[in-house]
Amino acid sequence: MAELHIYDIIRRPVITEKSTLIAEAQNKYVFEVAGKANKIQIKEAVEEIFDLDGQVIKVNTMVMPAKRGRRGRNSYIRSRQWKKAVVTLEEGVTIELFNV
Amino acid sequence: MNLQVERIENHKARLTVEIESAQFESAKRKAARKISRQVNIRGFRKGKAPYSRVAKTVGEATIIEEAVDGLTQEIYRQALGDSKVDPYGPGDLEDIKLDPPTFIFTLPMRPVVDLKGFREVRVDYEAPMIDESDVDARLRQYQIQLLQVLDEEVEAAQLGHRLYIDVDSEFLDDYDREDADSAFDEDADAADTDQADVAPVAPQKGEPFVSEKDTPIILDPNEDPFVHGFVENLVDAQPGDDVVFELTIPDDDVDPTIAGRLVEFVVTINRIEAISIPELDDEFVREVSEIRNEQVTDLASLRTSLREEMEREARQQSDNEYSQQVITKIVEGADIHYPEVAVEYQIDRQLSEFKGRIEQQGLSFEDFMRFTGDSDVDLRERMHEEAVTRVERSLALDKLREELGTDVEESDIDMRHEAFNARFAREASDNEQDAVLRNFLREEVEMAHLSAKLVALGRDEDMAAAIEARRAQAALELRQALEDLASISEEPDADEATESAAETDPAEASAFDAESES
Repeated sequence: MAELHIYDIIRRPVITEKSTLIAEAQNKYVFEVAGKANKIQIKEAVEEIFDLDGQVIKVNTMVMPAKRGRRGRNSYIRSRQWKKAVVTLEEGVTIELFNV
Repeated sequence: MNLQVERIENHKARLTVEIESAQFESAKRKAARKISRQVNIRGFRKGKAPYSRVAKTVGEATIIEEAVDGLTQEIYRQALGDSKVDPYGPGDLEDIKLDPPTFIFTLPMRPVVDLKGFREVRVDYEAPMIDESDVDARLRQYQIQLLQVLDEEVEAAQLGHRLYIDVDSEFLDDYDREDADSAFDEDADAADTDQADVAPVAPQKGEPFVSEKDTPIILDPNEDPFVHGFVENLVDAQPGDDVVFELTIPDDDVDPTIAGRLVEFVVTINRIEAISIPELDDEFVREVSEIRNEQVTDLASLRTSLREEMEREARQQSDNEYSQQVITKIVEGADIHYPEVAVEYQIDRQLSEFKGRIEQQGLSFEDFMRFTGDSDVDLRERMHEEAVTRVERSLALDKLREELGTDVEESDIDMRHEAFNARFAREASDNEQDAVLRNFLREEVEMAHLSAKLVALGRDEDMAAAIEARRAQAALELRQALEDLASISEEPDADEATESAAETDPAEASAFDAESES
């Protein structure tokens, strides 16, 4: 399997009310990541992209289930399944993108 | 807050207010919160998005705009209080600078009036003259008022008949400008361009001289209604005739632009009446004195009474005109500074008065503008000059009231109030309406006193004496009103009076009822 590029691993930052809150309060940053990416790859990618030097403490991942809808007999996927990563940084380190 | 005040042209002030960055920043945050409550931002509930998200969604400029809106009122109020500038109207936000946050306001300042040596202002006074011919003219009016129609359908007009006519007329020659110019040149050596402004607009060939519809005239060579010779041309005319003739306006006419010019008249005769004009006998005197509600038995006393009345009227009118002249002279010598917006307000008032007048004539203002082809701007421009005069006069008047002080006493208002009640057969009461009325009367008395003082000032007379004279006149008016009221309540028969009074005043009606029962 071809190795994933760092920008394939980190697809986009997730900016929502909750993610903003935990960024402010707990220094945790939320990203959508490639489904096949593992925590180590995610850690490395974040450190590379945001120019952090081993300051990622922890990466938690979870697979967000697809949302399905039904219209009569037919069911369809309202939103696809995706993988979310919550990256915890060292205290005092911030990511510009989330700067609030 | 750092405030700078400077006076700029047009009697305005400029306030430059520099505020703390922190204050501006907090206003921006507040604005962003407000915006986030109104705008949908993906991933956030309404009102929950952080500043950066709001800025990214709606743009920083929108937030600044909102913040400025919120801050302006507060900063303006504070700056106004600190600057000690007396504003005349609402201020404008002229400009905003962001670094450092600076607000620049301009506002009109309250007018400043310095009447200079107004106490030394004198104006020549010419007392109005009433002579016997004026009394004759007034008597003639009563004669016409009391005339009797003997025959309403006369076949041919003769001297002494009354005709109802339509008149159309037009000038047959062009206005000879050189003649008139030379007349003007005799009066003044001023530049020609100035003269052009002053000279009245002369009617051109084909323009109307007079135009009347169904107007009554009495065929009397001594009472030519328009031009000498008009009446003679209508003798022998019959109803339905169109009489066409030409006349020349006398060279000594007061209006130089029409003097000596040839006019063609087209007169349509609608109706001819034979009339009998009453003689100046005792019967006539009795009827006139009844109309005038006074006890006069012979012609000589009637003439005296008419003369006195006309003299009073003439004096009042000349005093009014005279006080206006005095104000004009005071304004000329005064130093008055006011912002342009004062003139704009005045034009607004004049425009709305003008609209009211147009609409009273049953024409909508929009239609009027379409007919004349004028725009709102043209109209305002034309009103500008008059507005300036009015503003200056009213400012000078306010200042005069302040300088001369008020000497209106409650008794003055009582007197007017009583006269007002008597004139309209009103019952005195203690309600709100009366309070409004008294305020209105106070204003009226103040203006009357001021006018009396100005007349005294211009003639170098004692102001206090002028006020006393004005009071005496008010007392006389009150007495007259009370007498009129008394004579009205004496006159009518019981039944008729009850009916007519019931329509006007229930309280009075019950009084009449009580009388008829007893």
